[in-house]
Amino acid sequence: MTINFILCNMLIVIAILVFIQKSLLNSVLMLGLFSLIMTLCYINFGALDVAITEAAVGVAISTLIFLAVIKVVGVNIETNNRKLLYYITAIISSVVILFLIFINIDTPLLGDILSPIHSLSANHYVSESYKEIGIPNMVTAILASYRGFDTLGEVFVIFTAGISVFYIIKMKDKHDEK
Amino acid sequence: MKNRLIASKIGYFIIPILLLYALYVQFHGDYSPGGGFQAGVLLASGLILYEIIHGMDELLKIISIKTIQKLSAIGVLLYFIIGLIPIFLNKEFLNYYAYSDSKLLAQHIGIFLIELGVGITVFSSILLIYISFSKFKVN
Amino acid sequence: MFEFLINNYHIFTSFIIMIIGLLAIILCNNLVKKMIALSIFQTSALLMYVSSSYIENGQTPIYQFKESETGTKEVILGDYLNSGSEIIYHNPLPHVLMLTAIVVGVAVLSVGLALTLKIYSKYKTLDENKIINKEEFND
Repeated sequence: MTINFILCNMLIVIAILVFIQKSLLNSVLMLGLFSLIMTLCYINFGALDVAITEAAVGVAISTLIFLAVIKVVGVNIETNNRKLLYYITAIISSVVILFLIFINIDTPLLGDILSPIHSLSANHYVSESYKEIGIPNMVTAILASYRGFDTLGEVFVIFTAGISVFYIIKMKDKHDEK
Repeated sequence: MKNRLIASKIGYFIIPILLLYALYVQFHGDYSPGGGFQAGVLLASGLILYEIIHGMDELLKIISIKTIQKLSAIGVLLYFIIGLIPIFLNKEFLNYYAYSDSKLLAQHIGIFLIELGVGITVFSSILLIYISFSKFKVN
Repeated sequence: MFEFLINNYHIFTSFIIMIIGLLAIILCNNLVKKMIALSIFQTSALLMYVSSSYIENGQTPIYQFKESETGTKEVILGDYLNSGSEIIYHNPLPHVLMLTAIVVGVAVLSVGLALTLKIYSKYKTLDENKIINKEEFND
């Protein structure tokens, strides 16, 4: 698929561009762009629920939280010259990537219907879910009914994150009272 | 004070559409891509846009911090109680068949109430996170 | 190996972005850039899972209806083992798991940024080496 090829190349270029910027504001905006291209990748693979969530969470909320932090902290970063270290890590990481490719050389190709991931419980969800639950959206049926426990755990996680951020920021340390 | 005329007029058009779209995505989670998580995040985005245009004091006149904290706890409690009621009716935890004799109607009720709980919790948690970051002052 | 690169290019992309994110967490001095790298690292792992759910000539996993002979709507079920159904749906299971992963990712990111703000309010700098030099180790 040529669209897949183009989008993945854009992702790699943007991921490299995020970290060579001289200002924190530019890095945060490139992160938002990264999430946007990732949304297009998800749409290309036919995953619409994941695409809406990634667009709302990755593009909107993540960028807004980073911008709220940058307003306090400031956009300037200190640069240092470590070119030799970067070249050595580039060589080592390319060796690691080659190693990872050789491990995964037998993965099923894109779109293969005979791959083993489609044959066990996913087959039951796709064929029996309308008779047992009766709603057209399969993802909501699995999320709320077949796998309700995972969603309960996730609601606990997001609730805990909300309270802990509020109380971490509100808490005063000893040095504040001096 | 800063003059925010253009942003304020645009906000009058966009913010109601955002909130209405969030409610649409929440209640049509059964028929189109959507559900609780997406709706909660979209609802929080609408109120965050209001805060960016008009300031933190105006937002805290609409909804206070204590209300947001209570809403997030109500969402989790709703989910938990919907799962706990079948235990008192001699079935297992999170078994929706205890709510009605017709199997499909029971699943509809269970899924609807659970997505409502998830949407309320996600909305209030994300709004609380943004408000605490925005009110932070370095001393 | 070149067949892998041509047909599974998204897995190769996922590896590269994962390694870039991991290196940036280790090598960057600024704390906020470490959090940006954490977010990129998490997003790249999700791409590999969602791409494994794709089936050729498939449709979005929402049931579609067709008109039967009596005029009522009849649902088209999917089936992966017998190749007799008219419509092939993509696998919905990785979508469900990755929905949870995205929201957990933003929760972890927000707690990390809250800790970063507290560190900034104490040491007035966000550079990692300067914070380590300023920290007094009492033995």
